Amino acid sequence: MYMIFLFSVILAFCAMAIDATIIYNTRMKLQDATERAALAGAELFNDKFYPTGTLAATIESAAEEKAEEIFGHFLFGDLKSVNTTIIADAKYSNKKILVKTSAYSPTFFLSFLGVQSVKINAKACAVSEKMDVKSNFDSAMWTTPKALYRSGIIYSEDNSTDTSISKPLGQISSIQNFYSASYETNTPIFRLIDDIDNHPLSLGPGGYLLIRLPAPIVDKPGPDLFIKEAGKALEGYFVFAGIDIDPFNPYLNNATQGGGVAWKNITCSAISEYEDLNNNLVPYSVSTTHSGTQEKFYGSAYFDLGDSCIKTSAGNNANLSMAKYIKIVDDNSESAFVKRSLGSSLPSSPPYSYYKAMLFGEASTATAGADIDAIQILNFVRLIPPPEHL
Amino acid sequence: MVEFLLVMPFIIILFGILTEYVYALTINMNLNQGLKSVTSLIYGQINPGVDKEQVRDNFVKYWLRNYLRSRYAPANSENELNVDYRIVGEDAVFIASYKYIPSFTLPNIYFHFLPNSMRFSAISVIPSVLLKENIYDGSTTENIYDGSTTNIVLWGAPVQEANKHGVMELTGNTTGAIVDSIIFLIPKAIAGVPLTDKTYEVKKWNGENYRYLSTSNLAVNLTDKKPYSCNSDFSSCSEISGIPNFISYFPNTVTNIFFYDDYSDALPWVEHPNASISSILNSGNLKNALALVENNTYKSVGNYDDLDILGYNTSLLPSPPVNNHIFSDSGKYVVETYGSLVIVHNGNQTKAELNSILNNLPVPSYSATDFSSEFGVLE
Repeated sequence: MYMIFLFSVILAFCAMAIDATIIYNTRMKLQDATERAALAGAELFNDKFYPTGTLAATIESAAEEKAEEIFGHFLFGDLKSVNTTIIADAKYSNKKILVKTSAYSPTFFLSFLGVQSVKINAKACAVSEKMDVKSNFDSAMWTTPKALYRSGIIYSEDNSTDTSISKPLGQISSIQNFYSASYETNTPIFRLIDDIDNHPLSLGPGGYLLIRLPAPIVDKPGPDLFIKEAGKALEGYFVFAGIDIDPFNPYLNNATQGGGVAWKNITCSAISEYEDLNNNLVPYSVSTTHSGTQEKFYGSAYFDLGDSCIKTSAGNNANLSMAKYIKIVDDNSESAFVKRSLGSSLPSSPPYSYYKAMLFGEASTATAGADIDAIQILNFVRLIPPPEHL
Repeated sequence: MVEFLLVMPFIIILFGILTEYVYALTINMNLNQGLKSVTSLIYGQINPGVDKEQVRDNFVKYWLRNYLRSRYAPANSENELNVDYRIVGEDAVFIASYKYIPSFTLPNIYFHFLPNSMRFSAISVIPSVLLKENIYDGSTTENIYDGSTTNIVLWGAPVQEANKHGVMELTGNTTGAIVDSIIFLIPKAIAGVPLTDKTYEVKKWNGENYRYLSTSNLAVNLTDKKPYSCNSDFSSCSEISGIPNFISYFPNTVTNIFFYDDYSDALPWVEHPNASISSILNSGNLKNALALVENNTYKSVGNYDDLDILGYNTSLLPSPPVNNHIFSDSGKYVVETYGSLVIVHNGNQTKAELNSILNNLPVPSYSATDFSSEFGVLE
């Protein structure tokens, strides 16, 4: 008799354990689907544009529909017949989307006790934001099949072929009394690359910067990368996107090159931060000694990896979908675009008129070369703790 | 005891069945988690030329199989682990299927309380752009760098450097600190003399008073970097002996250095599509290059690019001597324009002090044209 009782109790607990596992499993899948839906919806927010009114409402609706569409993809297998519902709420003003879902998970053993199903809820909130590239990230790591390694500016003091912040022409290295403003003693001040604060890292004449991004740039609708070039003189530079040729053997630095990095000039996709009345702030092609004709741009700009202007050497679309590395190279030219400030018909408000000017002697100044203030990955979408309401 | 032994086989069978179900559910969860993890790492696997099938087979399927095996889930051929994808607009939907075969088959001898196999599936969605074939057929690392030079990429450094108009290049050493003066370097184009368009007239200003301090017409030869003494029209110059280079000629004097173009050469200082050089000159545009180095610390006190070009375009201003102020963003220096006169100072001087200086200016002994070009303003 005792055995029968004991056996029944054990059986009941085991049955509950199985039902609980099934419910937990369904809950996990529902949460996963909810998070993916929120992330997909947030991808429609673009950091370059700040629409208001009807246009913002249209994009918000599109983001909500996108979340619902993605959630629909997950209504498969365990979530196929659990009677799900979804409510998505997007706000362009803060580039967030809140997704709440619910489902009724059927029970197996508990149904003998009259509990046919259990309602489970999930919610997730995703935000689209800019990610500032910094000289070093304490926690941002790349995951590769080989290892984890840190993002940041790739630099080797022993060999300048990774990053080289050129000193001004005429700098006096022995006593350092006419030095680059981007140097501290003999070390480039990489921390100047942080956020937009008008404290730039000047590349120097022909200097360049190689950065392993804290997160991959993935091509999304609109621009994907923003480079802030400080100062009123808009100086020229080239931008290259790169990925590992062999991801199983990634590039670490010049001394440990792994499989190497493949590069593509993405400068042709540049859209100026400023609106130019005469449309002079556009990419320009220049002839180079070692790499043929290359495009360069003047001043701060947005870049789009998926722009169809980025071609292969055969003239086909390059279809760049992502980049892990960014390389910015100063154009080594004492020229810049400046705002026209003379003339009776000049506009008093944007758009202004810009024209190209020579800056003789610029290569010998303490802030020679393009002045890179900040590098931002746009539309970086991530999950945040979901609030009750947006 | 006897009763227990009678019930024991059923308990064992029951626990076996429960274990199988729990194990199957665990595998189901691992399949979901595995597909989610593996697809979220696709970005790290992409290399030039990779296509959709490679992503599916070499990355997702391969790593999902390893993921399951690392969690003690059988992933052999009989488990029929399969991964496929569907492109739906801008999304790629990955679907993984898996067949779990229970190993505890004893109950099946008596009754089919356990199925012969259980099929699980998992879904993950990623941006479909990650499945596009990347064609990074541009430069590799080696091609971008020019191994023969240390600080210039893409094109030959020597050619570009030779074209630069800065003349601060220095190979020797100086002996003293550089303090308290502004020097103007004005390019001269004098035909028929050795110091042609690579010659810069040197004029300096002590920062305290407006005075033309040069006792002779100094010039710097861009080729040998040495100072020269010239006659009044710079048609004849002779090297100042014993001076290794231009900088060493001005120890303890130089803080701020102007590089100024007086447009006397034919270089295209402004590349404006709708205007000739002469028309731009007439418009009053002027470009200066400027280096400001703080006393003693030798650090830049402001971004060269922060100077507002407007400050030099005094034709915008009322007639002299109405003045205009432009402060650097750092607030460490000020550009003052007094009609055709431009003064850059460190911001420590008050407006009254500066006015006092200006009110005591000596009468220039040279023409208005010289006055204008010396301080970099055209009217």
